[in-house]
Amino acid sequence: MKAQGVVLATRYVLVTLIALLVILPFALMFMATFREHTDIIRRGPLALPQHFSVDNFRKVLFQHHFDRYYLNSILITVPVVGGSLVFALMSAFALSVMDFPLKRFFLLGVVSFGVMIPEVFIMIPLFQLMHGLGLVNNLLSVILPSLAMSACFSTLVIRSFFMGLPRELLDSAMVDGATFWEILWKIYTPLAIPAIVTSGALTAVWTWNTYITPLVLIHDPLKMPLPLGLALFQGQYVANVPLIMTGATLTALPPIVVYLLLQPRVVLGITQGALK
Amino acid sequence: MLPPFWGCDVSRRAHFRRQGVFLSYLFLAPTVVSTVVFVIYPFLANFFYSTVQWDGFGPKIFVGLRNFVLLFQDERFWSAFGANFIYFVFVTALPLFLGLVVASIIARGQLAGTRFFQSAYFIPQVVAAIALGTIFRWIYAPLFGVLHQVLKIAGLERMSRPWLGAPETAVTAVGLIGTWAWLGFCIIIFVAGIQKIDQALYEAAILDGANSLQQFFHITLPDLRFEIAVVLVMTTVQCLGSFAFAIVSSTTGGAYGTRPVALYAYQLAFVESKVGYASAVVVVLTVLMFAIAAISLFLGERRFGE
Repeated sequence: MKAQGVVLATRYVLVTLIALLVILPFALMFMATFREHTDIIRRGPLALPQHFSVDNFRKVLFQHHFDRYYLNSILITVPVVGGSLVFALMSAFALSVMDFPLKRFFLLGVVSFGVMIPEVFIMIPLFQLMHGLGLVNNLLSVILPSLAMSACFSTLVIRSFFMGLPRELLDSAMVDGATFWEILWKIYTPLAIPAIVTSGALTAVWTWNTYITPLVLIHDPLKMPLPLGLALFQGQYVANVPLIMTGATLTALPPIVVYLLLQPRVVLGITQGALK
Repeated sequence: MLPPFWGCDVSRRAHFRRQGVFLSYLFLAPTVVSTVVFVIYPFLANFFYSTVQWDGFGPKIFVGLRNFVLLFQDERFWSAFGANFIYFVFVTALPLFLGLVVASIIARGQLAGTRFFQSAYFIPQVVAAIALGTIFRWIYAPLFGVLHQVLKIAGLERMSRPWLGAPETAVTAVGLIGTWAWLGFCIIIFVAGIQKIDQALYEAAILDGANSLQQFFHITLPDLRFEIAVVLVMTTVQCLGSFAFAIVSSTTGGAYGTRPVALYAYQLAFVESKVGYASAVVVVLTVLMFAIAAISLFLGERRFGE
């Protein structure tokens, strides 16, 4: 009995230590946003903030263009998530319910392939393509490839959900004379809300965090999304820790909030998505 | 004997014929067309680009495999390759190993607050790698950095150095950011995997007198083969792709031997205007990643064949 207590205690100590190790850098980042740079030098980086003022946030947002970066990130993420979910619901329906030639090819050769390709592998031709289309420095140049990749990912998640729905659901709707279009939007989509939330949250987080595609395609500072803006900002103001940490907090906070709100679903989505 | 839903199936098929194959292609079109144009075409074009000499704007000169011959003699490429190898140790091997050890300690038996720990462990996965790099640049900073302060408090101030600003420590310092970011992910995947293993196997092993190390090697490890393959693929993709790229960009900028192959390809293409050559570097990266992914998945699949 005593030995078991020791084992249990060891487990708790271990998981707690790792959790602290993971959270500590974020806690330091967040606390630094309330401090002055002189205060960091004087009292050291580990000291707690003495008063809570949002001055740094105001400065970073309004004097260092983070308001623009936010707007750009939202203007990229919202159409990508909305558009890709609509695309994905349609293609997931086709790939699960309908029968047609080359179905396996589309599933494995196009959709699964689109999920696997990292941005690095396509960055050079993508620049040439967008340059040819006249879209360099246009948010569309980031939206279009992200939309395609997100649609592929959500297709896989939603398709596996559709595959689990009972066949009779489809058959009885068809006997009633409903078209595929009606069955998709009126019967299948409302049922798929859990899968939609999971894939929507994940693609939102990934799109929000994209760095390489905008790095290659967006050169105008006023059109940059947050991660790219943060990279530019920290390169320019190396010496002011609180300001840089405020920029990092502004970049990191929205995905963390989305994640914590939808936590069980997102973790399930990542682990299951990874395990598929 | 007819299958029970025979009647339904016939009407479904008739219905399907009415709506036609055309409709299914219409449903697929948005996803497939956007993927082909913005992902698959650039992916394939890259292979073509790797066979030309090109500054990105002027005429393309076909040079066959010369870019690859140059590449294998290019010191900067091999240095980037070496950095990637070290990142492989820190971003893939180390989290995998530590994750297995920690998961096999904590997974058996119930822990309170699982959801809290799961949330915490996963946070690095949802934060932009650029932001992670930004935080660690401060942690590693020489004078007002966090690590420096911790060493000072511990009385080890003379051990402190500019971690990111010296060739001896920079690659390791950057690599450890990857270990930190991916350890939680590995633990969660492995804990989920271990909890799926039949507890009766362990009970039988205990009855046979197997100690915990034997249980680990004969039950846990073989049964986690698939999860290990998944972690291998995911972390390798990150170590060759966006994660290492962004972490290095936001910490050292690629100095002191920290530049990974992906960042080298970016700089060749967009700073030095050697587009054809850069594409050859990307092709090598692509082949490498697909090879590692194929090997891992092959090893992971074997569980189902046994």
